[in-house]
Amino acid sequence: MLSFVRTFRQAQRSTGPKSQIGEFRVLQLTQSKGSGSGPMKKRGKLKFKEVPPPRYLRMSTDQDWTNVWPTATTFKQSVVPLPITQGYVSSDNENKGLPVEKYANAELMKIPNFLHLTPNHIKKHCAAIKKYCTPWPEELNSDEACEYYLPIEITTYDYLNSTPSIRDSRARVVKFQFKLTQLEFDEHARDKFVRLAGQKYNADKDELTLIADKCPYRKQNYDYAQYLLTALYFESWKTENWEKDRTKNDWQTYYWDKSPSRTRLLDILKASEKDPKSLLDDNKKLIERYRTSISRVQDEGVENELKNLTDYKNDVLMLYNLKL
Amino acid sequence: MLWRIFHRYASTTMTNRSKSFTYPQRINRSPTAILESLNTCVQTDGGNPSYLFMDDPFLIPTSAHEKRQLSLSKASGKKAARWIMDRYSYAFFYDVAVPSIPSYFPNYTFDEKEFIEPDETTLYKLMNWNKIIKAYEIYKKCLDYKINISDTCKYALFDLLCIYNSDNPMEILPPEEDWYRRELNETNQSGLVQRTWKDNGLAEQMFEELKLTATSEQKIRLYNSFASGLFKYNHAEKAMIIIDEMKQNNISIDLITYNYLLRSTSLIKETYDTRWQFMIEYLNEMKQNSIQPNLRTFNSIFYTLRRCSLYERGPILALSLLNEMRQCGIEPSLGTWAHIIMIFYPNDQIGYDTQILPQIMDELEKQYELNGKQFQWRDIDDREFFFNIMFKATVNCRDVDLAKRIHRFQMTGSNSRFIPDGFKEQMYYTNMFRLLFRFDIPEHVIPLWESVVPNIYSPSINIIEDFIEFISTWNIKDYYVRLWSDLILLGFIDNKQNNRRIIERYLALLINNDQENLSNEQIKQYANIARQILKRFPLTSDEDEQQIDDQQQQQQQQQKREVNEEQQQTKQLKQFQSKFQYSGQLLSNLIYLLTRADDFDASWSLYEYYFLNKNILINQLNEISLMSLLKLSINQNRIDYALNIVEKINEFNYECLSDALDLLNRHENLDHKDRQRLRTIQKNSSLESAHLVKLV
Repeated sequence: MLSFVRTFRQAQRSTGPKSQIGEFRVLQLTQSKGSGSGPMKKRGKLKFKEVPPPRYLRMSTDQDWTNVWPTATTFKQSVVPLPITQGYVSSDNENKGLPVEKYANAELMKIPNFLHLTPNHIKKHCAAIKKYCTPWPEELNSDEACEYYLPIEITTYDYLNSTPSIRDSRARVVKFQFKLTQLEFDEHARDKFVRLAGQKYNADKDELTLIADKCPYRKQNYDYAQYLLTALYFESWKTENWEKDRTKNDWQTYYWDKSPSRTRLLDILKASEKDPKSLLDDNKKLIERYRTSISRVQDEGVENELKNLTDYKNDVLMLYNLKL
Repeated sequence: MLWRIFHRYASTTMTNRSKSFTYPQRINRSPTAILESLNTCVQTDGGNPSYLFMDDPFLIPTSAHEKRQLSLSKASGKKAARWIMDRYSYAFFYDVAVPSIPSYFPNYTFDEKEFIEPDETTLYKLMNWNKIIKAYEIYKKCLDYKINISDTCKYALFDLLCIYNSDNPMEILPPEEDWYRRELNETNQSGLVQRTWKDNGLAEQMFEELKLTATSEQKIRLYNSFASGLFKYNHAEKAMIIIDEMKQNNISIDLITYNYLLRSTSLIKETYDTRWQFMIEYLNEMKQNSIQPNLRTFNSIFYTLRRCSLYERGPILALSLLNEMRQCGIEPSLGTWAHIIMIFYPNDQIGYDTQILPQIMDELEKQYELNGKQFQWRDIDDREFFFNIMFKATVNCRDVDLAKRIHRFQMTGSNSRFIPDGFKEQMYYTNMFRLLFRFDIPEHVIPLWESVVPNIYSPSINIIEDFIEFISTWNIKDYYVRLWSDLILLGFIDNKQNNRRIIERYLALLINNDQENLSNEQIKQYANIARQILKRFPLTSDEDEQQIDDQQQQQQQQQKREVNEEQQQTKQLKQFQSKFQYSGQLLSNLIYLLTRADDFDASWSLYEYYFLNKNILINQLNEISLMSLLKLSINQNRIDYALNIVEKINEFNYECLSDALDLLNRHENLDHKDRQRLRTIQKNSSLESAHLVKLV
């Protein structure tokens, strides 16, 4: 099977005293002084090769740097023609108080450098890649246009590792983002949708975010996110039986028309007048004012509380003043 | 399906927008297309060493010898690693890589069971792993055991036998070794055409066997493979017999066989005209059978024409062939041009009247632009292009601009990969620089030299000598010191066979030129160089060597036999490696350089060394060095030494004795004894001029 075998000379064995066959070999842990090899052999002087001077001394000022440093590599001090320093010297004793030079500077080697992405590099790279680029569509000329034509944003992540394996478990995550205005809702559906979405809905930006990472594969997560979105949407249009059991405490906004305040007001007005039909017409404006102010008090909470309450007070007084 | 749900709800207040818009189509590209286009941004830079050697500056090899050593040792390491992987394959089955990388796994080891009970799958596996001979054995076994093997398998095996000449294919050398293949491959260095086909080998046996049972379609494949194999390994007669057999039995010949046939025409027919007739005949046959020629066909025809050297019709036929090629819509490849060049310039003398080379360069540059700035390997003959064109441009045409143009073309993009091995590269640059040194001026040559040496090309000793010659002719004084460091870098000073030659030439260069206008700085640098030489090659006298020998003998007596043998071997080695031999000429040059820098002690030690070892040194100390040493000793008031020197001048009977006497005479601090000595010298000399000097 082997085409040829390289044999290597055997390493020399130790030169201890050879014992005869049958004789018990004596264990020698250290070499005794007698059995040396004469006077100490002087270790031959290692002949070192001449180190050529660093390359940057020979570089011309108009050379093409993109050819000298084409890709990202660690910092090579003999190639970079600039007097770069890195390091903190705390006193005049260290390095004579001078900043640390680039020769054998481990700090410069540890950090990433961008010598492979100078403006010339970028110009060349762009020119080379341009032929694979298509023009930006004209219809997408503003943010609103982008939202109009491309309502949903689907984000996936890819990871590159310096290992033999191309897999990364973080790459399975899929994120769906869109604004709720893109979907058709009625009031109940929208409210139900927002309630169902919970944390995933961002009220400031009116945006829903679905992040799917349950499944091991990206495609599976993508399909799951699609399913989830569809289910959410259609569920929000359905009305369950138990939704009728809503009480005033569950209302998301103050509905004047269903409120007990309205019924009571009408009762009061009816009680004071004999002719119910004309009631509403005569007092319409005041009732409207009362309606807006009480809705504002109920809805707006803490924000303009003082103002709202004073408005309410005035409207109530006006309303009852009329009766008085 | 989601899009049906999404409603263009918002923006009724916005400007009128079309309901949908079309995405621009994605431009189809291969997975590595972006990387490839980024790759075209990078050109060869003469300052970077090649990728294999990139490392700390201490470790980057600069001389040709070092480069060879480093790349071959890297290749050896890889081979050792692969050997270990195959030998201890049970340890290497853990796979981290996704997707799996097959070449990082041990090779498939065949089970004995598979051989005992052979099967067609075993045959296929053996063929896939390039074990053709074993596959044939197993095939025979299958026939014996009457196991059924499909025809496709049989014919595949037969094809492989023909392609590889009934032998296992040679292992592909790692690229580092492949670069030096000319030196490593001892046989067939001159590239002669030799018949290597194995007669009565496995291929022929199988051919006979299959011939009996072949259907007519299979016969086509059978005969064509066999004929191609025979042609490939240069057994032309038998191949022609097979071709005739094919014609008799009306078996059609396919394109590959035709290509091989055309290529081997020079083995079949002798005279040039008959060769051409033969080729025309077969080309007509091809036309009748409506087989379209391809690039290989044309290159084969060119190859045959090239082997008809000094054929008058050659160039004309070549040009008409080129037209034919264009009509068939085949773009000529680099190999085509290589052959055409050799056809137009069959030997060193003739051909430079035709301006074919510049035209070829025009053609190529145009094509290069059209091809998107890259050339592809299209034919095996492409590897000869750069070598041939530079050779002919420099030797036949002697055109400096053309040579530079060719070089520029070779340096653009990745064209340098068309020089396939180290030998061709050496010859390419040797030819180019030889021409440039003779016919061009330093402003052009020195930048070119610096851009290529030492990273792309490490010159050989002949070129470096030509370079020294060039520098001395053009008197480029500022470059001398730099030249010294270049010589060290390129390994010429350490190279034990040639270093004396180079050092002598270099020192002659330093000394021979105009000595008056040297700055102080330069004088110091030259003296430093002299000291470096002395440090590298220390002067040891004979007595020292004797002492070392004695020591070694004493040590030998004290030790055991094994160690003894080792020592003897090393001693023999040391004797075999010649120590650096100083000569009188060398010593005089060194003395001269040192004295100019006023270094008396060093030059005096050299002077003494000379006289101690006069019997083993060739040449004598020359006049210039002695006179300069004399001047220095007078300036430093060392009268004894000065007198010593004058006596030696007298011994050598040099003409300058008169000047020497005069110089010493004028010195004021001579006392009586010294003057007496001077007079005795004058009396003893045999030169007329010496006696004319008036001594005080």
